[in-house]
Amino acid sequence: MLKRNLTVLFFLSFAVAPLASGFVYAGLYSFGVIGALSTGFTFNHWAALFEDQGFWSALALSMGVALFTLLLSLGLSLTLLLSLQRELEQRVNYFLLHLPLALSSLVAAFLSFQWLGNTGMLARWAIHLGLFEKSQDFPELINDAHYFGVIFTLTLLTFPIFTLLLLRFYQAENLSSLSQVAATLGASSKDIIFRVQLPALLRRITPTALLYFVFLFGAYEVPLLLGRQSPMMWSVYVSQKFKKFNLSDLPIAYSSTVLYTLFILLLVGWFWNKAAVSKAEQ
Amino acid sequence: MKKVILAVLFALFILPFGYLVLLSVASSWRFPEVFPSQNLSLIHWASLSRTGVDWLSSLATSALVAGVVGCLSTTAGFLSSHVLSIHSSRKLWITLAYFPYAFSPVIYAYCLSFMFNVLDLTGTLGGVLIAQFILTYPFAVLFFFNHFDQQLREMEALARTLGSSTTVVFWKILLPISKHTLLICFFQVFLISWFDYGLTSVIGLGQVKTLSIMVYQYIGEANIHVAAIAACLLSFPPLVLLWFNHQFVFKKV
Repeated sequence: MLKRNLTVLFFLSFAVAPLASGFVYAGLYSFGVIGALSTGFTFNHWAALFEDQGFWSALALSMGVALFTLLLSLGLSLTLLLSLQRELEQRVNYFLLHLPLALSSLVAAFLSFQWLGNTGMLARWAIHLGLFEKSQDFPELINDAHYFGVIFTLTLLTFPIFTLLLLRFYQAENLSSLSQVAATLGASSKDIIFRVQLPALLRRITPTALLYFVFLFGAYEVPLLLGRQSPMMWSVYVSQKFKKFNLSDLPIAYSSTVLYTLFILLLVGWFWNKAAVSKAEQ
Repeated sequence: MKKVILAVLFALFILPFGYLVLLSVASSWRFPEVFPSQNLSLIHWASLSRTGVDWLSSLATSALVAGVVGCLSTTAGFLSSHVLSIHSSRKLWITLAYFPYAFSPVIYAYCLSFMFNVLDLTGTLGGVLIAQFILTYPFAVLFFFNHFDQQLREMEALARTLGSSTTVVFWKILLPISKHTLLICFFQVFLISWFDYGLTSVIGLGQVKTLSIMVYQYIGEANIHVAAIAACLLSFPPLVLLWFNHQFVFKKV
């Protein structure tokens, strides 16, 4: 009994209390109750946050980048798995599929910076092959308005993980045998993919995909190096507000942090609900 | 066709490592050269120790932080999950453990920074260690939650019925059975800590110079050859871990 209570206390102290105390502190700061320039309870900082165009564009951009990267990664990994499943299961290929896991987001962003910039490796090859004359002619692929560099880099980091997971689900669901049975019963290749394999794989990957949406939504290092000053992704926006050392900006930064926390609570709650439903269906 | 797609795919995965090594040994690689025109040399590697930027100390700091955090979080997560996974409020614990795990590390760091300021832990190695433990411990708890399944519980109960003490059950049954899972969890926590930039930059205030902090610093200084060296040092140990995992853990696949 003592061991159980001590474990719960330890868990609450190191897993729950830090985030909860940070949330309360940020909440009090955002309402002007505490802080260097505090003048008492006010909604002004929240009003300032909601009036800040940068905040809304950061929210929309983070949603867009996370959603687009997620769909692109899922599409890529599903296509890869369904067309090359046997090859990917081979020992060497299976190992090679793990290689991107050894790259941190920061190193991946650095590599994209070196490859996609207008004096990067792609531009050099394009000039070498005679496709462009000057580096300025090369299209803007990093720090660009459409966040191409960010989406590209995040997709390259995400889709190998999805492919590995889908490969595991493919084996766990015994989809090879199920597909053979379907074929014996007269199903076409299209039917096997769309009625047997895809529904089973999508059902298993949905909770993980939702969790990845949250990770991608909070991505920091990649948009920090490959994104723009305006618009920024949410993590970069919050960090810029904190980094400015402008005391009047701090309550807005804390309001934004509170909102981010609520957003994550909502998403994780939804994820947990989905995961429970998915588990019940299995 | 399949072979071509696979070749392109794996070239894309191998290329970054080759490029990082080449960039770190290229004495000069000016635009628009597609390959370094001058001889390859270790001049940038050697210059690192000459210019007083001690990359060995950064490597040691990263290894120390990731190693300690890996051991602590794996141990604490394992012991906590063993108790929490059969607790009456197990669903609540699992949901609570997801929040810090899903949080953006940099925003989490700003949430924690006031507490670390009060405790005078910002800018210290101890502060970074504690902050990374706070970040990775819930992950380790989640990791082990499903490990303690019905079969393992029944095995524990059987050993107890046959007269084994709690200590014997732990050392002779739980640990040997969980060896591989513990190893995988350690690798994953090690990697989270090894790669972390956001949390370390905020809590460490740039004074705790892990390799990730150095990579960002060199990129900021447009010192790409040295950034490539730091990136090599950051990427090759995980490659070795992956190979080790592949040799000894993924054998079943």
